[in-house]
Amino acid sequence: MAEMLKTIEEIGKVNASFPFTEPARKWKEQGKKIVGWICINVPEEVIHAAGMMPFRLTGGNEEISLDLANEYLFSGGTCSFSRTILELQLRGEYGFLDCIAGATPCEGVIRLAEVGSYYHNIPTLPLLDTPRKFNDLAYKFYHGEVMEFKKNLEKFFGVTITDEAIVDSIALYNKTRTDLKKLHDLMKSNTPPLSGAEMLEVLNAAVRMPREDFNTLLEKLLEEIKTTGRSLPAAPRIMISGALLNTPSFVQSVESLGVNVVVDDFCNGSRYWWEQVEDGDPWKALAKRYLLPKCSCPRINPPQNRTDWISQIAKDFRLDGIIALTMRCCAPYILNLPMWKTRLEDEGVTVLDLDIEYGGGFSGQIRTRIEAFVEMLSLEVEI
Amino acid sequence: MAEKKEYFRWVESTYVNPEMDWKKADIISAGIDVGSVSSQMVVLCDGQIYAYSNTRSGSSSPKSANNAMDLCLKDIPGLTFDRINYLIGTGYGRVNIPFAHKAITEISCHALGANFMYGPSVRTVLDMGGQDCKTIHIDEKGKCLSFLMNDKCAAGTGRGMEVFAEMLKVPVTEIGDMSLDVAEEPEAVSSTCVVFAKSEASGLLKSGWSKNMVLAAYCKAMATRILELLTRIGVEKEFAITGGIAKNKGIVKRIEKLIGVEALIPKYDTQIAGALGAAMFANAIYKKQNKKMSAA
Amino acid sequence: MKLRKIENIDTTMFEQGIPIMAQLRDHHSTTRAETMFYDLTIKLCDEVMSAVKGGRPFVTNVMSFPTEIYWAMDIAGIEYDFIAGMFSLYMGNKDEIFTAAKSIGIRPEICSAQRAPIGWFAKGWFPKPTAIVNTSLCQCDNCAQNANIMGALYDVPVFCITRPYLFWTQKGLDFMVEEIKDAISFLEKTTGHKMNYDKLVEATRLTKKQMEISVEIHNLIKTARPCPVKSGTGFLIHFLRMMYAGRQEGVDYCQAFLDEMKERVASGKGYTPEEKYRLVSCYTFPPGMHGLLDWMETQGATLVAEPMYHYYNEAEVAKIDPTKPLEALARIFYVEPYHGFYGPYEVFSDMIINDAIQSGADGAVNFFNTNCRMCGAVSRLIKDQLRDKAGLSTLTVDVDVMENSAAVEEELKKKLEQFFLVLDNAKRKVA
Ligand code: SF4
Ligand code: SF4
Repeated sequence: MAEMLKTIEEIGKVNASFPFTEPARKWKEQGKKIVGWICINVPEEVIHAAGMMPFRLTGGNEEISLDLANEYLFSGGTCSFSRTILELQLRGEYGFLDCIAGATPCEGVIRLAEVGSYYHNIPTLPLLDTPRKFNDLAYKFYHGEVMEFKKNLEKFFGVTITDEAIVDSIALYNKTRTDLKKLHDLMKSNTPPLSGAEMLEVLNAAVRMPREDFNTLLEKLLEEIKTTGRSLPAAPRIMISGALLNTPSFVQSVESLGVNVVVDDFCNGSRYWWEQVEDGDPWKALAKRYLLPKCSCPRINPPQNRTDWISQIAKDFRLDGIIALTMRCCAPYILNLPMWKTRLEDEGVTVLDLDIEYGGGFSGQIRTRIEAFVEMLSLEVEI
Repeated sequence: MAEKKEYFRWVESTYVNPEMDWKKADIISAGIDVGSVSSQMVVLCDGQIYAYSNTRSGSSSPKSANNAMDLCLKDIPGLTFDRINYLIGTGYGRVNIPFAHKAITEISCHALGANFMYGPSVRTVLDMGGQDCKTIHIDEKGKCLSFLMNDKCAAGTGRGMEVFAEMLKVPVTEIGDMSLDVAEEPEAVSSTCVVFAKSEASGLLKSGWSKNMVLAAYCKAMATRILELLTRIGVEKEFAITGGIAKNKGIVKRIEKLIGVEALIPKYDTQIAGALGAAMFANAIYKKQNKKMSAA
Repeated sequence: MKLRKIENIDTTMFEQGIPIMAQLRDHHSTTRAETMFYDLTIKLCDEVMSAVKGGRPFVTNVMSFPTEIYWAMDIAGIEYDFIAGMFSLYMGNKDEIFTAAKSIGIRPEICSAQRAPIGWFAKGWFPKPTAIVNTSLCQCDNCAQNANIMGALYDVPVFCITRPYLFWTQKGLDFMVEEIKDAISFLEKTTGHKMNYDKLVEATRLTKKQMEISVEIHNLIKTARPCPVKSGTGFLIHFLRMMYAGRQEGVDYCQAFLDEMKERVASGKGYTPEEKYRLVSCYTFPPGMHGLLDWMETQGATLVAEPMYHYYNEAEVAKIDPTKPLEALARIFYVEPYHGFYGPYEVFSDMIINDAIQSGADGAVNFFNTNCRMCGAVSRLIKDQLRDKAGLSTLTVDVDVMENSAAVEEELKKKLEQFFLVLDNAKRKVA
């Protein structure tokens, strides 16, 4: 095993105290505000430009019991991701948030916001209404929503967000995107510098600490990789695909079977950093960026863009296989997977359709199925 | 006092090929398949089946593996574990076999085992094991191309059959034939869940159904349930069945009828498919490693 | 199995479904409106089959697509989720279609209403449409996505109308108008038929008429005692209005529904001998359970309010302006109470509570579709709100809309019996 990177250790420490991470605690101690956001259609830059720290609501490092959440969000139709967040909210673990910002990408998070705001005591801002397609009409509509969001935030905290501030915030967040892209470009090597589990630590930390500090860590990491020349042994190259995943231990278990997880298409992964906010009117540019036209989400119609994007990733990262995680009841992903699975298989990539709960562990049948999938990629024995 | 009869029991068995001599073999490889209901060991001499055993699983995976090995080697004078060049564990207990060199899933092993047992034309394999069912698409070399597993549930599996045998006091090995010996095929029991099916069955018995009819209704329900897995993967010819339940004609015949395709006739004990595949992998991997070593 | 184009499309199964509607008419309808409902459904299926056989365009849609457009463009059309669900509910082929859907990865936790049509397409049983149109209803992920799979299975073009979450704002209306325009040009391109805007004006006028009658229906239900409407028929009038939006038959149906109610009021007789339990039904009552409804009547239980199907807002209906047909279509969507139920919860929880209070309900039943991601998630919220704002107890039960087995019906009876005891106790306390 390659030597542990110091920066990764440092980053791991940020995630260890989730949800109220050490950096978040320090931020609050300075009397500053934290805004929790739920979905990647919420423009973080606006929150940052208002002087608050954006913090993403997710689950932690392991699967938790959802007894409390199940009382309020019926489990027959609601994904375990939404219920995990509600569980943490109801347990009071998100009490350090000053308010919550959400959007309307899918029923899971819509109902989470509605039901949550009724039963917990963290104020929720009006949801950004996210269209399910991208064309000029949708951009224009979402521009209106972003402006509305700005106003709501200003009103709630009694602040003003200037155009200069938003331009600066965009530059800061674009810098993150550029550096995360650089990091992923290194993963295209046969002997990638990071394991998929380490990469997930990096991605988790990105949304749980002040952005300025994260960018510094990220630069340090790139530098450390360069100076140490760190690389992992070559192995079959796979992507894990799905809504989102926050448990590095799961990725680590997959990799322990003898593969390298070199990329993902999660909304806390590739979809988070893939697209830059373009130049021009900052508000319009934000609206367009936050509909993610290039790396579109499965809820978007028509689904062609997404299929093309995944196929492109497979080529760029020379994938041997894809583990497609579909969370139970996650309708957008379950209904989208057949749309690209056949095409990718026809292009020579092995795809495993794996239904799993959010944060779910690596045991029993799940393990057997993943192991058999890895064997499909690697057991090339002349009999 | 008469010994209590255990209807779930099936006969443990061993086999040694009398025409082969292990002492002349270059490579002796082995596979051990530890399942939840039964465990097997297969020994190959230079890639040919030399011996095997088929036993009930014990209370722990290491014990089951030991039992299978003891039983297998018992009738072979002089052959001990040390002489086996490479051993691969498979099945549900594969990671807990202390003396295995490597573990490979039962999916890959059944694929390869079925290829050996039934020949290269097999494309669809149905494995009906002790606690789960899987369907596997394989190529002409026995490589797994895709697979499906059913949810973990005793229904439609060996364990479910044993529970039923006890309940009806019918030897488990006779269930298949008895279920086919009915004047008219009954409706399937409505639930394949063992717990529900049991109470449904006792209701049917009370209302005057014969044991054969009840068994027919149960076998039919299991076949219907397995049909879903087969439909989902899509049956491509040739079609073969491995695992313990392949021996239950009552289920096999009904599946064949439902899918309109006949399963290939087994030439070996269907229960050894997993261990056989593992032993074949062991043989291949050992050969490959040795080639590397002698090249170096 | 992989998702591949279906080569063999065979409509036999579809055609066998049509006579089942006639059987339902003969065995289950107790009112004239019900008889009309089945007759009109048959007529629509016949129109579809004749278009398919005659090589004329036929379009299929998910619920809530503005079907006035079909009529104005002279296209045959039918709602795929409704018809696939209806047929499979009574044809006994649920296992087959659901296995077919599962084969291509659509698992049982997907709402069965939207999974059934995928199964029909995967089996090659659904007639081949010229195009498929769907909507995001309000935000329902299943409606918004299943058409893509069906389009891929049959290799036909798909268009989805996106609906904003807050659709009644000016912004939401403007957005809808643009989406409807795009849908029309998509249909013009795929079917070769041109939109006749004069006919569209006429169609929106007729829909408005349907809604005006529906307002009257609602007012009468709220005020008349005993309740003059048969329990569970809200589902039928809703689907009929949807299928015959913009057509005279739809107006005639609504009128017949109203007239029959008026006769009831005049005769002073309700459908239940004695109304012991006046219930508001929060979502939809399981559509296939005729026996359960009959049994409830014998117990003195009546669904006196089905806000999802009847709660029209008179002032908003008045705003529909047929001379601006595109905007009118957008508004029609907004006014339709059904759509309110899939938007922000404040909107529909108010509808339920107001309806319960206005119609003097004693309790509430919330039967929601098991895997519905919209309804199930808020069931607890609605229960709490009904308790806090209207002082009512709610029986919450998830049952699959495709379920009509006797066993489940028995289960529900038991639950209802217990619930009636709760209501009795509550009454005794008050007295
Ligand atoms: S996209 Fe899937 S995982 Fe994400 S909130 Fe929606 S249902 Fe849940
Ligand atoms: S029942 Fe729910 S999930 Fe199903 S179509 Fe309706 S809104 Fe969508």
